Amino acid sequence: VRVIDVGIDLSIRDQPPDHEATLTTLFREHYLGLVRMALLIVGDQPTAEDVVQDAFAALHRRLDRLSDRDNTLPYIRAAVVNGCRTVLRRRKRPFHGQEPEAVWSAESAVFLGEDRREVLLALRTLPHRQREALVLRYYLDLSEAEIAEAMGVTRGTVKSTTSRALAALAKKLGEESR
Amino acid sequence: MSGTEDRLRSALADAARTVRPETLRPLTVAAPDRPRSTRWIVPLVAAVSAGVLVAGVATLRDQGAGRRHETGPVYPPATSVPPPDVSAVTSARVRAATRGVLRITATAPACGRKTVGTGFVYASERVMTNAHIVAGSRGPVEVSLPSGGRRYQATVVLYDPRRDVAVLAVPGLRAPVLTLNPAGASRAAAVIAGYPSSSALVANPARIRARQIAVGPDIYRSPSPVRREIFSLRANVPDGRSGAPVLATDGTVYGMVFATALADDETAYALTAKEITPDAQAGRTADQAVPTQGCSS
Repeated sequence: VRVIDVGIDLSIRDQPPDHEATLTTLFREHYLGLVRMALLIVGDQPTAEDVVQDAFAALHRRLDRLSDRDNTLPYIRAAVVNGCRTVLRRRKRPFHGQEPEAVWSAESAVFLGEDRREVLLALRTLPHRQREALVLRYYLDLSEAEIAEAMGVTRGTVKSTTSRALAALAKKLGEESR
Repeated sequence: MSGTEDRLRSALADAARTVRPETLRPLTVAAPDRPRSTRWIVPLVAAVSAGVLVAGVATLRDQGAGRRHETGPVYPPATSVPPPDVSAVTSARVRAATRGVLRITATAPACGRKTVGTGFVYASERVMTNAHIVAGSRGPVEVSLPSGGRRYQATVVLYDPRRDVAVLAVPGLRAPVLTLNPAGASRAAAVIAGYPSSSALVANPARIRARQIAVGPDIYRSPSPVRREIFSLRANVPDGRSGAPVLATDGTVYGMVFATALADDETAYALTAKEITPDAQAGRTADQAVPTQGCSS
């Protein structure tokens, strides 16, 4: 199955077809998970989908240059993390306009419950890198090595970022006094 | 600390589940929301546009930044229509019409790419195709008749990146002229005739699901969205048919394919005959080469 429509690019055509099959499989198996991961970082589904779709577009363009085509999942995970960073950075600029309604908004408390919302709100106040580390660790259950690859940092940094993030989160949630 | 970890795990899992599979946009490989370098950009536009089409419910908020955020449902219930009628392909009139379906090859040296797509003869010495196929091309565009037939050198005389339509002037072209038919409606049987990656012309059965208004970015993702009338089609053309005519069983043209769905092997999108008519008319008399701008992103 080919992945992309179009006036077919000859450079793509010349590839053995299984590369695009790889991409299609990646999409089928991980698209939902990646969108969910992006949602947890950026807060809303439309933006999360944009980020993940961009990542797939970039991966598709690069398919012929990827040295290890079996290793597309870590690659796209890193691309999504990076895309989320771009979005969050852009939101800090002035005149950006209103943010889309986030999963931690008051409305979503109806679905998620106050406790969940409280955690998400606390997560939101953490520095971006800390938020990423926690999502990768506690949502995707990735190993330190995998988190390091996705975030583009060393394993040591992952370890320290995660423990600092968790401590900050616990503090915000007031668990120290419990 | 473990209390925090547990609460975090549950909150993340529950929040993640708010993204339900059926609400995902059916297409991937959407466009970037920022300008990209034009080198080696595979013509993703088609998929991109379709990603945004999503049946026209996509409304642009935050247009200044050229970003899209759907309001309302992002995945409208697919209009259920019967599967395509295979016998449509064998209709004598359809077969005759496919002789007016040409293979288009454009070279865009600045982007290091050569693009192959489909076009169809709609007037004397005039061929219509997608703008994204000829985007950024330099020099003549090559047009060839089916089954290894004659090749011609063509000039882009109309370039409409907003609609994703281009018209080529092909002096001396001898091929049947297809007629635009604005009467395409839901459930109508049709045939998509075009050139996938193999060189031979392929005709696939199709069925119109719905006529829709789609709002989304143009092929350059200009900040102002474009509003187009499209057909969503039930058809299995996962390998792409940009520029292919959607033929009615009598050989007339309901529209021109410009995108296929990615996550779904059974959906293609076409501009309606009504949508492409203004360009078709303008292209009839146009005879000067026009710039094809940059490659599309």
